[in-house]
Order: sequence, then C-alpha cells, then structure tokens
Amino acid sequence: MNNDSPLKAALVAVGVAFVCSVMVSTTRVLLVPSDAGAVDIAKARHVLVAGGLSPSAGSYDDNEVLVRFRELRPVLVDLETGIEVDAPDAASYDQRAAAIDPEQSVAIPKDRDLAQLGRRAKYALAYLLPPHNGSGGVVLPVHGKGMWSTIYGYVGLGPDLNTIHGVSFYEQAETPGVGDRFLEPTWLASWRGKSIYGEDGTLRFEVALPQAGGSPAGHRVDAISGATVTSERIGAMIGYWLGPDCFGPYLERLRDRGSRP
Amino acid sequence: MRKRDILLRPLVDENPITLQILGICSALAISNTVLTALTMSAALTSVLVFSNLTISLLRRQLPSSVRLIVQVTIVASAVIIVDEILRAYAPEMSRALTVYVGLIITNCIVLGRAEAFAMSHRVGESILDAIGNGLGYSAILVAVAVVRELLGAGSLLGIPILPLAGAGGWFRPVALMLVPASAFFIIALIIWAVRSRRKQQVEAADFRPCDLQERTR
Repeated sequence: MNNDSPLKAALVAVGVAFVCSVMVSTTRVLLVPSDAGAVDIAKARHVLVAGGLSPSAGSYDDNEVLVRFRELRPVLVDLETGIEVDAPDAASYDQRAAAIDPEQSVAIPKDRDLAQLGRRAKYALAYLLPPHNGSGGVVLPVHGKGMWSTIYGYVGLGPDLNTIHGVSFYEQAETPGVGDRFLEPTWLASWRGKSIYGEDGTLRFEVALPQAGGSPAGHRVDAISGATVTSERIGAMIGYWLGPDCFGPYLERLRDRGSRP
Repeated sequence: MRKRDILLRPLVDENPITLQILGICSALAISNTVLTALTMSAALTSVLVFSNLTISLLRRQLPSSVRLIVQVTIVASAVIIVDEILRAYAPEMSRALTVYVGLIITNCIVLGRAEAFAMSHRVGESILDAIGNGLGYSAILVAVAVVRELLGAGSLLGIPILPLAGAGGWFRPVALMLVPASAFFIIALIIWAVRSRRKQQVEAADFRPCDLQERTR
C-alpha cells in the first residue's frame, strides 16, 4: 500500500495507538498489587516521622519501619463525637475512599471549610504512641488543598496533646522547586515544639509571615517566602483538622483520660 | 559509520547536552543528588532505547503525514510505563523526581534521535545510537550531580564524604549547589572545558561586535 495514502495513515495511527494503549494498561494492571503494598509502608514511614520515632522518611529500611510502626496503636475515631470506634480492621481503613462515599462522609459547611475539602470522612485513623492511652502522644492524619493540589500528611502531638512532635507530608503536587519547598527537612523541623492551643484551649497555631500583632512565635511557623500560599494553606489545614470540627472532641477525650489517675 | 562510532561518538564528540544543548531542563532540575541523577539517566536511556527500537522497526511503514504523532505516542507510552514501574518499586524516588520522569516525553533528545537517526537507520544501529546518547546524557547528568551533591551536601549517593561543620567537621555546604541554577554554571563549565579541547565544537558567533567604521558608514 502506498505509504502516503490517507487510509495507510489512519491504519498506522490506529494500530500504534491500540498497541500502545494495551501496553500501558497491561503495565498498570500488573503493577497494582505491589503498588498498594508500597504505598502502605511509605505512609507508615511518614507516621513515624510525625510521631518523632524516625528522623526522616528514608531513615530506616522496610523491616525496621514495620517493627517501629507496630509500636503504635491505630484507632478509628468518630470525628463527630471523638469516641474511638471498635473495629477489628481499623488499620486497613481507607479514609480517602470514605471521603468520597456519601454514606461514610459529611459535607463541610462552606464557612467552616478551612482546608477547602468540600467533604470529609466521618471517621479518621489516628495512631496512639505508647503507652497507647494518649499520655504518650498521638499522630493524626491531615489533608487539604494547597495551591494546586491536595496535600496529605501526618502531624504528631506530644504527651500534652498540644506541642507538635513532628510533621510529615506524603503526597502533593505543588509547583516543583517552588511550592514544594514545604517538604524541606529544615522547614518541617521548625514545626517541632510549637503549641497548637493557647492557655484557654482555643486554637492559636498558624503558618504565616511574621508581622507585628500576629500570633506569637510559640504558636507560629514562619511561611516560606516564595511558597506563601502553599504554606498558609497548610496552616489552615492543620487548623481545620486539629480544630473543633475534626479531632478537637477526640483530643478533649484523650486529655480527660490522661488527667485521670 | 562504524558501529563503535555510533555508540561512542555521543559521549563527547556529539554529546546531546554539551554539543546540542538538548535535555537541559531535566539536567538542571534532577542533578541535585547522584541517586536521582542515576535514576533519571536510567529512565531516559530505557525510554530512548525503546523508542529508537520501535521507530526504527516501523520506519518503512510510517506515512510522513502522521510520522510525528506516531513517534510521540510511542515515546509517551514508554514514559508512562517507566513512570509506573518507578512509582510501584521506588515510590520515594518517584516522588523525588516529581514531574521530570513524565517530562521525558518532551525531552528533545528522545524525539531528536527518533527523527534524526531511527527513521533512517537499521534496528541494530538505532539501538546502539540510543544507548550511546543515553550514556552521553547520563555522563553529564551524573558529573553535574557529583559536583552538586558533594559541594551542596558533603556527601555522595547519600554517604557522607566531607565532615559537615554543623556536625563538628570543617566543611560548610555551598547552599547555591542545592538550587537548580547551579547546574547552569556547572554545565557551562563542562561545555567550556570540552570546547577548549575540541575546537571543532565551537560555534560561529551569531553577532559580530560592531566596530566604529561600520557604524559611521
């Protein structure tokens, strides 16, 4: 057949497109199982960093991560009431799938939607640090809109359930080299020791540029210049998840439990 | 051209980065540590081999009207497969490379070799050409990464080499090396070094400094 006939052009184009799409989808299907496992251990690494049990996500090999991760107790929390739900398969709870399932999620009122999520799951998976009653601290999952993408991460609170132990983010698609500088270890390290709540128990934490009349340094993480929007959104998302609409009631319960002899 | 030349000429004499100034975008962004540079090099080389091989196989059947779109489809498929494999087996590395694996699709080296070589050469030669160009790209990327990681973080492949001042040593990391702009200087220095050894690579000047006589004429 003449190479320049329109029929030949169409045949070659369709043929190549077909073969390529089969290759790509085959790869995708074959890789799914190992993909799922890899993501879980990757998340565990970030839980450890937020809990202060690992200096960085890459510090330990897979086995070491699993050993350390087993020291934590996963608890499924009803965000509305702050009650721990008894669920044998809590550890495999998929909060992201739940957030888009109308049965398992609630719409967030516009004026309270600090993290710009639209909906959130009714339950969330938190991790209690030993001795597992809240007096060792807790690691909480957080997510929210950055400048372009939804950012997922964990924030760890110390035994007083107020001081930040660590923070770690495991998924984002902010501008490479600009917005994604919030992943830099030095900036994340600056979160350590900041307090979330003021003396009166209200949420005081924020990520912002330092300015006169702003929140005091003990409650503030400095925003990254050049990535101000992303930084401030992260601050807002922490405020949402640790505030009264999400983990607030749960943290309240943990505090009560810790103060009882 | 002899087989040996096809494989080895892209290393220095026809290096895609230093002579043709292609693939600069990823070379700037991904060369901050040796490990990311090695991974990126492997990713680009495998995409290049796959695309050159496939396009050379199809070269007599490709109508010129849809030639480019077919090439892009083949390259894009190879890139997606490499990206998926990285994501499954090296998720941390895949995150470190961010969008740059996906951007291999637009890397001029890949389409450049497809158009300039694979379309007019036999399969075996096209594969050699792909390996040669992949290695040429890798050599520059790894060289830049060695300089950047050593001076920017005092380590190579994550292993500490120079004792850092922060940890009681004497070495103060050069913060400039951690930003992509430093790769500009390093690549420029490499190009300068190569071209002062191989004068035939020096390009003719685009502009002549205008002299007084010419202006008054």
